[in-house]
Amino acid sequence: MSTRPGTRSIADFVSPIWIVLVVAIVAAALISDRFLSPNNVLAVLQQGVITGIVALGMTVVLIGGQFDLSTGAIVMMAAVMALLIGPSHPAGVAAAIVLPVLAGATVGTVNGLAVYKAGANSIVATIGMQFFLVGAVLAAVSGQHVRADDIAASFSALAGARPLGIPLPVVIFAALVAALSVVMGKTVFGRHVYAIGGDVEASRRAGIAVVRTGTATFALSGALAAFSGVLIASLVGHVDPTAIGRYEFPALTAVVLGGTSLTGGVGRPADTAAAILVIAVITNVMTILDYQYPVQLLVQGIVLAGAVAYYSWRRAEFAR
Amino acid sequence: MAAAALVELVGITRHFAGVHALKGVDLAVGAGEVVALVGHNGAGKSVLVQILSGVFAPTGGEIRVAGRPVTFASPADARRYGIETIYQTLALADNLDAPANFFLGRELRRAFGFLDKKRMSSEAARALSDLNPNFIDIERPVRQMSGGQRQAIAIARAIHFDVKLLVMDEPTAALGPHETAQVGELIARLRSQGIGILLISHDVRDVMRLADRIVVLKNGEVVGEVRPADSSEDEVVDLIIRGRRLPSGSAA
Amino acid sequence: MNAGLFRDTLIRLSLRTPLLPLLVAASFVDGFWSTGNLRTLAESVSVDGIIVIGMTVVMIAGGFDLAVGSVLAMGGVVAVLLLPHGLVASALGAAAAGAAAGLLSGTLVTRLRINPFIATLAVMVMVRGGILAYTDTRPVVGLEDAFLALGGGRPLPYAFLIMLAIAVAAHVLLSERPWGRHVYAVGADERAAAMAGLRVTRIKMQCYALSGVLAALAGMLLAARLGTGSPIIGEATPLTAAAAALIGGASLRGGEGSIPGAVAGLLFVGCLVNVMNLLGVPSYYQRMVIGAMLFALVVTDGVLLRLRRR
Repeated sequence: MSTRPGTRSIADFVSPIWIVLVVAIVAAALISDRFLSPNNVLAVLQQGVITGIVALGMTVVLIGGQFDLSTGAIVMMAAVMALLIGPSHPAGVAAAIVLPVLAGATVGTVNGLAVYKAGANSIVATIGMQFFLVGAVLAAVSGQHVRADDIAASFSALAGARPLGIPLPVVIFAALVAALSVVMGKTVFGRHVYAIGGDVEASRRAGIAVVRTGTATFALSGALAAFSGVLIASLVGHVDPTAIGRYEFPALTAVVLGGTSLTGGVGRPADTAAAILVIAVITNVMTILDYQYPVQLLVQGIVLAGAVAYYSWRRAEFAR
Repeated sequence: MAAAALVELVGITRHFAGVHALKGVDLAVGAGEVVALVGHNGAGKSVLVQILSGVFAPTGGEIRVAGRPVTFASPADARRYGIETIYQTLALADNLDAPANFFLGRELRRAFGFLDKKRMSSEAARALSDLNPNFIDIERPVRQMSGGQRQAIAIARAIHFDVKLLVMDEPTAALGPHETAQVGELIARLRSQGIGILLISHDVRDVMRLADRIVVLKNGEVVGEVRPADSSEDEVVDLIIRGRRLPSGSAA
Repeated sequence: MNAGLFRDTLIRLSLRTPLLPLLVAASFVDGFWSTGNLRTLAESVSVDGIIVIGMTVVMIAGGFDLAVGSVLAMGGVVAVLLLPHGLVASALGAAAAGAAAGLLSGTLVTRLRINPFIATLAVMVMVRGGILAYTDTRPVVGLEDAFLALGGGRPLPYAFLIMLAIAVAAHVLLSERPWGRHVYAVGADERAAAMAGLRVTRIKMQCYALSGVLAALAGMLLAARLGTGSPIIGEATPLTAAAAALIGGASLRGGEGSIPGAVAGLLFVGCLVNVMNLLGVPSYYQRMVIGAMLFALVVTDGVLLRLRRR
């Protein structure tokens, strides 16, 4: 919306991140002939969408000018919840999907109220929340691996089904990207989130319900992170609760790489989706080339810093 | 003001962390009346503006609209009663374009909370070109626009939505002579339409020219009220500085 | 304004005073005052304490340093790797590595004007990835006598004495030297500080570098105590450090805070953790408590700002 074109160049329609995505795919295909094999492409997508759903929520929060770093813990909490609820029969399946998502939305609401009502710094507050949740989840399962004894086929199907050969999570992710693009670009709610991210005081003076709208962005982020956790539970059927926190950092990197401004007010969910795919491609190629997690972490840190630097430089150029 | 004033403040007080910013202010603005509020920095002008526009609630006292007591829980409430404010800072969201800022907080909707962008664009374009015929290319972030254009957006949105009382916070502070004259014409036009105007300013000369009444605020209190027709600039300045009128003749 | 300041002080003190009730309550916990436990307490607060001092300086300057945990781990690893060249080379190497990380953070924050939380988050991840890759995620073992002796000390651990010395030095630097004034000024209002002729960029770079050096030295002391440099430690360090600094009166918006306050805040956090350990509270619950405490502190920090702002 904010970057909505009037009569301007194609760069207003297509963010640079889509060009980066094309370049990344071409480069990946040149580096490894395994990259474009159908199985690998599906693996890239599969891996991308789990963090992608988290990143979509964080995008909305950041468009409003705030950060949600509790999402990784919410993912884990939701995955553990889904498995503990025991999705063994059809009624349980519904509960194993709905209850974790509600819990995620509740956590998000608490974050949102702390930030928008009390004026807490969102980064440190949500890191505190992350710690609290991780501790709570570990305490609840005594630090043990969580495995559901018996999982109904319908729950496994959430992540395992392949309508038209495409994994269901990929379809869901695409639908979420489309839905959020509409919500952010075409509804009053979305407009108000952009306004709050642009100038919170001006928004308040224009009569926007800042606390309610802002809190809703956190609730949305919490619900999406939780849904992502449910997908993980469905996909693998067990969770190691100590392997926490591998989600929000790649997600945050994608949000920033997609061009969402760190100061709020600028960004598009679809661009985040493109950035998620870029990161998934890079990670996939590194895995194919046998660069393990530590190097991937290092590269992600560099990508994050580079992306932030690039965008802040570009905005500074633009502003003068 | 025999009939109930358009908007009336009665005994308004406001404390901030123990500091008394306003100590019982009475102020009324009638329909088609231009009232100027003058005073030093720190006299309480901007606090009063923010109370009137619903940003702060007063600690004590009453706000009356058309004789009836009201409370503003938020700026949206003040707008609902027809009180519109043009802030000195303009209060625009820099990342949004002109139509978005024009309709900020009261967007035109279609079903299900969807924005009616087309109608908003054309209405905003019309309102803006009324004010400034040279205003083209409104669909870009307002941070890319000139100071005059940004002010036009702030003014246009304040007078577009059935305004009854227009609060103008230092409208001429950042303007050149030509634009200041335009603001004067605008005030005259609005007044002839029966709109009440509260003009906050520290430029006594401007105020003498534009206002029907001048209310002087000092240290959170009203220290005097004059009509430009039967007083001088010096008298007003004395009120601002000393909080009282000097005996005539001794003014420099 | 004065009344507001008074109320702030009251609220902040009400956060800080729990140290006394906590100590009283701790007295009823078996073994709290035992020599062994006090030594454990001193050891745990000395490593974190050195880090909190750096974090507080950065926060006073209006920044934040999320990288201190990774730099702590890096300091330990680098110190152990350099041990064959002697203890001095080891310490200098660790300090240099820490300074480099701090200068990187500082560059991202000042030259590229990146939000300090995100900038140091990126540095945190880069440093962590770097040492994990370099050590292949395995701890490095350092068993030089002089090094292990550094991790000991009777009756008080050397690390504790070093921490106290650094705290005194940092306090003097902040409260008695022009540089300290400048740090407060930069944190309170960067633009005003620049207009007053202060070299804002340089001051902030120095603060981040200081934080990096201190975190790395803390890592060296920790490695000396454990006999190994572990690439995976320090995950919770930025949280503990931030909580201690906030309890001690620092603010997330800069311009406020002090070293004595931060040390008091750290003692509070340290005693709390220590008592939980004595009571056999599982580490998961300790995580919950630290997280909830940080959350509550940040909310208080926000509410304080709203009360003060007009």
